[in-house]
Amino acid sequence: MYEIALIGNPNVGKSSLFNLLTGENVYIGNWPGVTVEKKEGYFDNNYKIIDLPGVYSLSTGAIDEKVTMEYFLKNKPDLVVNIVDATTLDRNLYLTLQLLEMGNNLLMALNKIDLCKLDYKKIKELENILNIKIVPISVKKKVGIEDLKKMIKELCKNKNYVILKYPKLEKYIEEIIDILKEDQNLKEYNLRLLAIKLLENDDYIINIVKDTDIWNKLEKKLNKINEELKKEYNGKNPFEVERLKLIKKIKEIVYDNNEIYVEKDLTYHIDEVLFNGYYGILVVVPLLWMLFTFTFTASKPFMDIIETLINIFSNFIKEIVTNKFLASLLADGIIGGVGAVLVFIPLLLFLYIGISFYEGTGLLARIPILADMYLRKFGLPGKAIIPLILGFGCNVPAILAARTIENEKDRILTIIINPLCSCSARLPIYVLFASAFFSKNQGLVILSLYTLGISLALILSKIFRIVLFKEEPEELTYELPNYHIPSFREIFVNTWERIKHFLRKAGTIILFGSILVWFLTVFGPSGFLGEDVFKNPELIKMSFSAKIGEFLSVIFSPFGWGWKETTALFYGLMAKELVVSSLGILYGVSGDKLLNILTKYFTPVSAYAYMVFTLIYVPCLATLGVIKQELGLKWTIFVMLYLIVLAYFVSLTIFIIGNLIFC
Amino acid sequence: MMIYIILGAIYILAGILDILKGLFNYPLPKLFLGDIFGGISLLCIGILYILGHKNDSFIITANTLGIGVGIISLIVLISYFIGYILGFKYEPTINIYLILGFLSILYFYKEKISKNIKK
Amino acid sequence: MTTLAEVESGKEVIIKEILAGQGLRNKLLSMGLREGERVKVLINNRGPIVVLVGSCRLGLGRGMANKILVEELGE
Repeated sequence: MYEIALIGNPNVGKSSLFNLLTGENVYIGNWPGVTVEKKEGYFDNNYKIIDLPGVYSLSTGAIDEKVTMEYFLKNKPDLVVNIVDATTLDRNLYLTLQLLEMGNNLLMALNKIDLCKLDYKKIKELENILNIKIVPISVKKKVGIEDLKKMIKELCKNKNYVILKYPKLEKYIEEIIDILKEDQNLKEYNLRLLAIKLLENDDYIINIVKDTDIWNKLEKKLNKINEELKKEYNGKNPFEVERLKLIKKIKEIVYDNNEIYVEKDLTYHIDEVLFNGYYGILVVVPLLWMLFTFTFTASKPFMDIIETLINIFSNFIKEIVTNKFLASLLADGIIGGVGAVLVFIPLLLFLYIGISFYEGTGLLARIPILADMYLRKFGLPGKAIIPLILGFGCNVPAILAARTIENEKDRILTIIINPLCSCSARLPIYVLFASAFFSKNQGLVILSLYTLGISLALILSKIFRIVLFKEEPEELTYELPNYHIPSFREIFVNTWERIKHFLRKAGTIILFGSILVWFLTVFGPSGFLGEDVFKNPELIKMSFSAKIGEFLSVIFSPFGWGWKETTALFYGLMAKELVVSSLGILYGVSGDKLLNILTKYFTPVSAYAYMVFTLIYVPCLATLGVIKQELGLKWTIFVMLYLIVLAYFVSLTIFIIGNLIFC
Repeated sequence: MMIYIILGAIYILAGILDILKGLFNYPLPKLFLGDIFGGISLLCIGILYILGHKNDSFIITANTLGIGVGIISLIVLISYFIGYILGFKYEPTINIYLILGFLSILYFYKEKISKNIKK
Repeated sequence: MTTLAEVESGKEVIIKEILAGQGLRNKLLSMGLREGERVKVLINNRGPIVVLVGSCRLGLGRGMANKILVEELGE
């Protein structure tokens, strides 16, 4: 088996090439320790291709770059396929040179060859300068892919390791490598890459060698070399200077493309409006609405279909299994839990299609630039806009959409405040209470809750930014690809793999949680209560969950909420919309009677406080599951804790102030 | 002809009505959905059309967005229709978003044809 | 010499100097914004700045554009 690393700048067609090479044989996972997506695929069974994140250079700033750097530090692939955009050759070469500096068996796939004037002779010249093989291809027109495959096989068998050496710098690199060799702990690393990055003063790399025994010796040497280089290169990074010099030379030999020509195409027109300080927002709002409606409204019927099928299946089980306990465990516990996971499939399918479409058209790169002006004030990166908006539909896809944020701190912040965006499952609670207590101003009361949620999200992100992260969100430069309508293949490929990843990772947590909640409902201190517990308020009173509610209601005594209201909140952990149905079960009424009975248990002020509490307190199990999938257990617990505390204090404040004003 | 101004005015009017229906439950026909976010979007597109008097980019952008809105509501309609034939409580009806999208497509073709004639 | 943030839409400039720390500098270099490079400012209103480098559009925040010193090219 040969290992092949595929690497290139963003937007050069790397993913499309990966798909063309591997077809359906793709596995999606995570790079160790981070949530950057790792894609692996195979072709002809014997060739394993690893799709490295798209990077402009080998450095250690953003998380994608760290992943790529770690890969090259610790792995020696049989072949590196460097995909290069022929229309922006000089920019792409920067990465190519870095790959050659550290020494690699490298093959260049020169993409978009149909769009530029490079002829066979020029390509040959480039091959000679760099001493590598180049295959011209066009991913879009599917030209040259077979040649590329042939060349990959050829180079895997007859390797051609190339090390690019800058005459002035080579002796320093060798001196450093000699010192690095002395340490046994560094054996697994690519020492040449370590040495180059040490000479470039890369903090991330320095931290790797700092704890070794050779550090003292190394530091002295580095300081000495740095001083020498400083004189020679006027304080500039010597590698940077050498790279740019070589690129300039290549540019002169290979092509002379100094003309800048702007076509007034659709991209130009839309961008002119989009990036016009005042009017850009007018474009962004409809775009966000489209993504939102597509994800949530269009997927709804399919979610209903899955829900119904699950119900039919669970009723069927109840009929054929005679043992009541077993029937309830299977039907309500396990199948109910599986259903709670499966119901997300249409939602995620639509989300991923929508996001891939926006990504393919070039919109996903642009919307954040505009949002950045507004969100930066609250310590959020521009890319947080899409998770923030999607959060109003459902927090699960919203949190998954945060993956597009490269900077880890920015992503964590975006995710942990997301539950404050009031998802649509909380709407039934607001509607119930608003129609019972504020029937004249329903719309405004509900709107006030949404506004409260988003305001808290923004305020808290500012606070977390200052307290937890202590650094400003990264100001990014974005490449703006031309608008185009992406191909079906581009959109659908990998979508199913991503959903599978969710089912595996978050699904297990949701399933386990559902079974636990089922257990706490049908069991009480006296044992199994029977499946009627889901309809009978007298029975549910004897369950563990009611006991938990009773216990917790002490905390809520200032609000005047009893065990029933608290138990309903407990069921809200499962899914927020369950608060309404469990209140109905606990009071033993439904429909309009529920509205009437609520007025006995709540005052308008305590009802509003209850709505605020359900808005803020712990997100539903599925959201927690997906936070765990993305950020790990530590952050999940943090989110739960801060939300509970916040919910309690905000609703208590509103309760006290409300009572002072109205009573 | 100032068709784009008329189109813009229709978008703005539809947007405001849909927002009103969403916020205060105005008794409007089923053509309107009461979608506040959607109403704001229509309003934005309408303003972009009207700004078309400044330069063509605004009209082109507004029109592209209008067509996008139409396509999205068509997808929703199809999906509701699937739900409806399977016996769920969905009413796949023509709504204002679909109509406006259709108007934008018409405008797109009209412009395209008139440009071709000029050439 | 001015900063990129002050160049009007439609003008072409040559990048003279990038006043940024090593990390940011490396990022800009690798994206094609290099000293001596010819760049066309496509859009510069109140929002982010869009420039054309080679055949490639880049969007820059105003903060970043302020760190790039340029010289305007006459017609």
